[in-house]
Amino acid sequence: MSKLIVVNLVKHYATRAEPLEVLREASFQLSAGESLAVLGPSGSGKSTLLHILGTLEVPTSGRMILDSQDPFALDATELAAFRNRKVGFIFQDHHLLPQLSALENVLVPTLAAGYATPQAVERGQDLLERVGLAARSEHFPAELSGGERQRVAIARALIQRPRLLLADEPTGNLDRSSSEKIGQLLLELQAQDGHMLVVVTHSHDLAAQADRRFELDGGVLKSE
Amino acid sequence: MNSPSNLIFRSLWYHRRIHCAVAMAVVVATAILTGALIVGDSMRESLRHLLLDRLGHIDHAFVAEHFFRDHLALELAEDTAFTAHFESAQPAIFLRATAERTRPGERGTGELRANKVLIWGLDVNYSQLGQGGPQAFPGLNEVVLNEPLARELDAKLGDPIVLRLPRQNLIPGDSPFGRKTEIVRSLARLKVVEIIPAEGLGRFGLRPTQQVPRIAFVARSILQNALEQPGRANAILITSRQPADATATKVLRGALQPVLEDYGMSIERERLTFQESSQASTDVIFDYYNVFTNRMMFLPAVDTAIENVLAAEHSQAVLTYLANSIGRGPLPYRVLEKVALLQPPGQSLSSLVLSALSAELSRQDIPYSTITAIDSVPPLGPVSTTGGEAIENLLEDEIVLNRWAADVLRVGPGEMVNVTYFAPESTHGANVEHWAAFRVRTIVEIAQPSEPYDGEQPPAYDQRPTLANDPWLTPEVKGFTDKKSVEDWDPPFPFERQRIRDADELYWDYYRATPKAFVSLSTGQDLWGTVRFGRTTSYRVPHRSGLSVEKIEGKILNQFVRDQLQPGFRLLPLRRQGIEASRGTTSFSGLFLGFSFFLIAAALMLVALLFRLGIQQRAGEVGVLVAVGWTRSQIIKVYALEGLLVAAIGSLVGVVAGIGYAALMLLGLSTWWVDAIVTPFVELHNVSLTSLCLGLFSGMVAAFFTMLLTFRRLQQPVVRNLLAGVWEEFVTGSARAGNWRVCWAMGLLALALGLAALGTQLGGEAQAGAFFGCGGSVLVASLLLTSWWLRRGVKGCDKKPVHLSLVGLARRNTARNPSRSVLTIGLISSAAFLIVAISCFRVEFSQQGAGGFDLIAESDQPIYHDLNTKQGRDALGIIGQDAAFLGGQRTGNQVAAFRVRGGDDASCLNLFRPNQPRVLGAPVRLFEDSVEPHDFLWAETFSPTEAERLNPWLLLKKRFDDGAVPVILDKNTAMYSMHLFSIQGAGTTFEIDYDGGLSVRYRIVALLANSIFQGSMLISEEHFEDLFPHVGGYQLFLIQTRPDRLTVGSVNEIGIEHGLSGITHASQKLSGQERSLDEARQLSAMLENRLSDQGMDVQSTQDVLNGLLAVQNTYLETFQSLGALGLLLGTLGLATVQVRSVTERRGELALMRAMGLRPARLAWMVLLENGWLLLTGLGIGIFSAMVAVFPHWVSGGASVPAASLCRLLLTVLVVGIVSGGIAVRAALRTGMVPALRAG
Repeated sequence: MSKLIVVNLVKHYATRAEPLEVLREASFQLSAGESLAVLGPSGSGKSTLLHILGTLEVPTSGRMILDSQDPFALDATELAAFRNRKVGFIFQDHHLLPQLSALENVLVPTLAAGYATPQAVERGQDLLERVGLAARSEHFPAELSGGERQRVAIARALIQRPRLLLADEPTGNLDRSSSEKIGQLLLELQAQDGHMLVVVTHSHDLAAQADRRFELDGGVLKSE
Repeated sequence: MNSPSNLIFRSLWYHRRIHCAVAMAVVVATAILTGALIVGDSMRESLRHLLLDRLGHIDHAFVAEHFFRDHLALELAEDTAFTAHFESAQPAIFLRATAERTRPGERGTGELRANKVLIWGLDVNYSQLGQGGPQAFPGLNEVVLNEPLARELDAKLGDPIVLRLPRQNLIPGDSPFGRKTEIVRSLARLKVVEIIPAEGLGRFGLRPTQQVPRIAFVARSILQNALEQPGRANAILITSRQPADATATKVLRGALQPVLEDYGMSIERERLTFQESSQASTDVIFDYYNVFTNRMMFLPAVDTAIENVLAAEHSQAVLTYLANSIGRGPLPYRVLEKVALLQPPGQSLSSLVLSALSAELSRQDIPYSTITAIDSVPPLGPVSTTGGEAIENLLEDEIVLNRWAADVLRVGPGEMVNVTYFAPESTHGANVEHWAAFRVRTIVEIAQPSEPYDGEQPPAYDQRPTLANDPWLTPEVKGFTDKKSVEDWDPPFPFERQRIRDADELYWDYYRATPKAFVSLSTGQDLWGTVRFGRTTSYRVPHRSGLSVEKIEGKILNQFVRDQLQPGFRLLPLRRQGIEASRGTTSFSGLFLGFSFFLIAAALMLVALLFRLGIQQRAGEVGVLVAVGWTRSQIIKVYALEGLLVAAIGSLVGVVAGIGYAALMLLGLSTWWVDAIVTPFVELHNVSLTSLCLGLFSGMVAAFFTMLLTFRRLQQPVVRNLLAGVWEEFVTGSARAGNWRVCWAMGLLALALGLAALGTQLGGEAQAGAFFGCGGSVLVASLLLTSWWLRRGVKGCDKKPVHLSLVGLARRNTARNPSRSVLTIGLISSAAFLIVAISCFRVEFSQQGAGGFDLIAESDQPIYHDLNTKQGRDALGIIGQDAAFLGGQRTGNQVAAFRVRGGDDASCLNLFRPNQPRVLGAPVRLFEDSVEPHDFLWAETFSPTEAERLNPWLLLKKRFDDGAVPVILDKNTAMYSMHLFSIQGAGTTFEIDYDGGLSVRYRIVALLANSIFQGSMLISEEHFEDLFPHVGGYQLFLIQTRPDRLTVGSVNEIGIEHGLSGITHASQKLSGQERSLDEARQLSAMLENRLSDQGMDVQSTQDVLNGLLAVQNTYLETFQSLGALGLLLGTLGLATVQVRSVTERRGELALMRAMGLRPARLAWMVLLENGWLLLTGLGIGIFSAMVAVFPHWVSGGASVPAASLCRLLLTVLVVGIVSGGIAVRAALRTGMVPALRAG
C-alpha cells in the first residue's frame, strides 16, 4: 500500500543576509486514498512544501519517503522518472502548452518515455471524459475556459496514475462556481483512483473537503 | 500526438514568429558565409573564364627575343609528336610599341598617344586561334584596334594612326656597338578598319592579368616589311582543344627544332686561295668554317656549348674588338692631353710641350681598327711567321701588328704601342674609353690586294696573301662592317670622323675590317669580353675532308639538345600557367570570410539572443515539462531539435540568400568597388555545390551550437521560477558571481597582448589572423568583464547608501538579464570593432611612398642615356629650352633610372598569381649619394649594419655566400601577391624559375611600406646586369622636381652647366609648391613629346600611388560596408531586446506610471538603458580595435581617422537611440490597467 512519509523537512534559502528558513521540520504521513489540505497565508512556505513533495526542490534537511523510496537519493534521471511515474502536479496556472490540443496536453507526461502508447491515448481520452471534456479533446487551450483548462491540467496530472497528486492552489484563478466543481472533481477522482492528494490552498471550502488539514505558518506545519 | 516529434512540429508552428526571427538571423549568418565562399568561387572562375576567353584555342606560345624563320612553325606543326598533343602552330609577330593618332585641334594639331600597346602581326588563318579577333584580315596599311586602344586614341573607323615599332636590335644597347638611338621604326598612316571589343582574342595577352590590354592587329607581312624581316616571325602560337599538361609541354619543347639561323647564328665556309700567274695550280691560303652570331658575341651558355662540341675539330675561338686608336708609345695622346691640362699654373711651358707632343702623337695614331684576340695555331694562324709557322703563346702585354699598321706607326718588335677602346659595357649610354699598353712582339706580313673590294666582290691579289689577310675575323656589325667606305660609317658609338685619314680609307678599300693587330685570346677576353655579353665573336673550324657546314651545324644543334638549350626562345605554357595563376593572389573566400567573421559572429549573437528570448518566453512550458517528469536531456533534446529545424530552414534560405548576397557583392565589385579589382570582369560563375553545402552545413552547425548555449542554464532549473514564467537568470548577486569570467578575461587579454606583439613580426594571412585574434580576444575579454560586472553589479549597488535614481535604476535594469545585455553589447561591439579597425588601415597618399619623387615615367623602348647629364640629354635630342627644363637653370630635377626585366605585375592591381614578377635594377649609387634614405618608408630591414639601417638601399649591394640575390619588395607585394612570409631578423629566401632554365634565388633584405614599387622586385643594377645581361637600357624613371630636394650632386651639376648664378636663379624660381606642380606638368609633357619614339609615358607618382592604394582602400570600404551591415544587425538586436525587455516589464512600468511617474520619465529611463548598452558596445568595439591596431599604428602601418570615425559612431548612436525610442513608444502605448493586470 502506498504511503508518503515526511520527516522533519527543512528548507532554507541562501540570501545575502542570513539564510531564509521557509520550512521548519515539517513531518506527516499520508496513506493511499487519503487527502490532505495545507492552508496558510502567502509566503508561509506552502508552495515550497509542495515543490519538495513533488521533488521539484530538494529539502535542506529531513526525509521524504514515497512508496518506500527516498526520491532525493536518486540521481537526476531516476528522479525525473520517479516524478513522472509517481507524482502528479496541478498548478494554479494550468500551464497547458498552447500549441497542443487538450488531449495532447494530457499526454505530455507520457512522452517522457519517448512516445505515447495507444493505451496512454485511450487513457487520456478516458480521463478527459472523466473530467467532463470528452467533447473538447481536440480543442486548444486558447479555446477553453479557465475551468476547462484546469480540468485538462488535472487529467494531465493523472495520466501516469501517480501515487501522489499535488495541487497548488488549483482553484486560485477560478470563479466560485468553477472552484467548487474542480474541488469536487479532485476529490472524486482521488476517491476513485485511491491516490494520495495534497492540496495547497487558500480556500477553506476546498480544505474542508479533505480528509486532513494542516496549517503552515512561518514555516511550521501544524495540524488543525 | 504520440511522439515528441509532434510536439516539436507543433511548437515550431505555434512559436513561428520568434522562430522566424531566429531563422532570419540564421539566414543572415549563412548568407554571409555562403556568399563569401561564392565570391571566392566566382572570382576564381571569372579569372579562369577570362583567361580561357582571351587565349581562345591558344595553349602554348614560343616567344623569341629575335626573329626567326616563320617556316619553323610549319616544321613544328608537321612533327608527329606535336600532332599527338596539339592542333596547329601559327607564326606571329608580337611587339610592344606605341600608337599615336594626330588629331586636328582648335590650336593646331595634337597627338594622342597610347603606350604599352601590343602589336599583333597576324597571319591569314588567325581565326583558327579562337574567337574575338578581327572580323576581316587587315590588309595593306590597315589596322584593327581593340576598344580600349581605340578609346585611348579617340580613334574611329577610317582614322589614320601611327605605330612606333621597336627595331630589331640584337647587339645589346649597353654594348658600345649596340644602337641606343634610332631604335624605333614608324609605321605611319595605318587606316583603322575595325574596332573590336576587348573580348576573346581582342583581350589577348602573354601575361595573365585581368586588366584590359591595348591591342593593334596588323598583317604580319606589314611588320616584316617595316622591320626588314621578310619571312620571319618572333612567336609561334600553338593551339589545342584541351589544356596540355606538363608532359605535352616537354614534348613541345622537343618538337621545336630550330636551325642555327633561327638562333641568329650562321656557319660559312671562308676560303682564300691564290693562284700565281706563273702557275696553274691554286694555293689555299686558309680554308675554314666560320661559326658566328648576329649578336656579335655568343651568349655565354651558347659559347660553352659550341666550344665543347667543336673542340674535337680543333676550333679556334676568336674575339675581335674595335680599337678606337692604336698609337705609338705606352700612353695614348688623350691621356697625355689630360696630364697636360692637369699641370698646375705656373708650369704652362710644360703644359704646352705636352700638348704639342700629344698633338703630334695623335697624327700618328691609327683610328678605328679591329684587333683580334686569338691563339694562333696551325694551319689557320692567323699570326704566323713568313715561313707559315704560327706564333704562339703571346704574352699578356704583347701585341702583333700587321705590316700596314707597323709601317704607319713606325714601330718594330720590342717597341711599345697603346690601344684605346670602349669598355665593353656602358651605363646610361656613356661609352667609357679605356686604354692598354702593349709591347710589339712581331710584325705579321699582310699582302696588299691588287684590286680593292668592289661592292661585295672580294679583292684580287697579285701576290700571295697571308693568313692575316682575313677580313672574316671581324664579325658583322650593321652600319659599320657593311659599309663600302669609312665615310659611310654610321656606327652606334661616338665616331670622330675627322680622325679618318686617306690612308685609313685606303685600308678600308683594300682590307675592309681585316684586323690590324692581334693579342692573345685571354688578353682580349680580359679586356673586351664580359660575362654579360659574351667573350667570343666567332669560332674557326679548319676544313677537313668529310666536314661540311651541315655537319658542323648538326653537331652544334645536337649539343644544344643535350644541354637543353634553345637560346633566345621561351616556351610559355600560357593556358596551364594561366589557369594556375587564375587561382589568384588572394583567397577571396578567405578574405571575405575573414572580414565577414565579425559580421557572422554578430549574426550568430543575434541568433543566440533571439533564440534565448524565444525559449525564455516559454519558461513556463519548460517548467511544466520538468514538473511532469521530463529529464533535462529530454527537454533539451526537444528544444534543440526544434532549434535544429529552425537552423536548417534558416540555413537553407540562407544559402539561397547567400547566392543573392554574393551577386550583390560581385555587383559591388564591378561597380561601386571596381577599384578593388581594377576592371569589372567578375561575374557570378558556376556556384559550386561544395561551397553551397559548406555554407549550408557551416551556417546550420554554427547556429545550432549557438542555440545549444542557451540551455546551459537548464543544469539545475528552478521550476518555481520557470513556472512563474521567469528564466532563472535574474541576478542574485552571489559573492562568487562568475569569477571564472575574470580569469578567462585575464587569460584572453594576455593572449591578445601576445598576438599583438606577434602580429608585427608575422606576414600575410598569419598577420591578419594575429590582428583579428588580438582584437577578438580583447573584445571577448571585455564582454566577459562586462558580464561579470553586470552579475555582481546589484550587490555592488547594495553596499552603497541607497540613492536610487532613474539612471541607477536604468543601469540596474540592464543587469536583470546579463546574458541578454552582454549579447546586445557583443553585437554592437563586433560591428564597431570591424568599422574602426578597418578605418585605421585606410591609407592616404604619402610622398614617402615614392621616396619624394614626383613623377614616374615608363618607356616602351629602353632608353640608354642618362637624363641627368647634358651628354645624355643631347643624345636623346632633349636640347635647348627642353634641356633647360630637365637639366637647365630650373633644375633640382633628378632622375633615377631603373633597368626593367619585364614580368608579371605582382601588385594588387593584378589578381592573377604572379609567376615571374617584374624585376627592376635599382640605381643604388644614386640613392646612396643623393636621396635621403628616409625619403622612402621602410616597413622592415633585415640584418642591417648601422649604415644599412640608415640607408637600406645599401642592402642591395650585399653578396651572399650562397649566391642569393638581395631584393627589396613592397611589403604588400611580398605578403599578399607573392605570399612571402618574413620573420624578423631573417629575410625570406625564394627562388624564381625563368624561361630558358635560369633559376634565381632571391633573399629579401628590406621591405618598403605602401610604396610605388608595389608589384616589382628591386635588385641592384649590378646584380641585374649579371642576371639579365640581355636587358639593356632603362625603362622606368623616377623624377624629382621639387626644389627642396636639391642635392649636392644636382647642384654641382647645375653649377658646372650654368655657372653659380644659375643655382641662385634656380632656387628663386623653384620656390612654391604650385610652381613645382606646374613645372611637373610641363616636364611630363616635354618628356612625352621628346621621347615619344621610345613611348615615354609620364605620370605623377601621386596618381600612380593613389591607384595602387585605391585597391586596398576600396577593399576596406567593401568590408566597412559589411561592418555597417553588422551594425544594422546590432541595432536590430538592440531594438528586439528593448521591445522584449519593455514588454516583460510592462506591468512594472504601468505600476510606476500608476505611482505617478510621467511617461516621459519612464521613456527616458528606457532610453538610458538602451544608451548604456549602445555606448558600452561602441566603447568595447573601439577599445578592442585600438588595441589590435596599436602595434600597426606604431610601425606606421595604420592611422586613426578620428573625424570620420566620430561621425560614423555618432550616427550609430543616434540610430540606436531612435530604435530604443521605438521600443519605449510600443511599451507605453499599452493601457495602464491591462498592463497592471498582465504584469
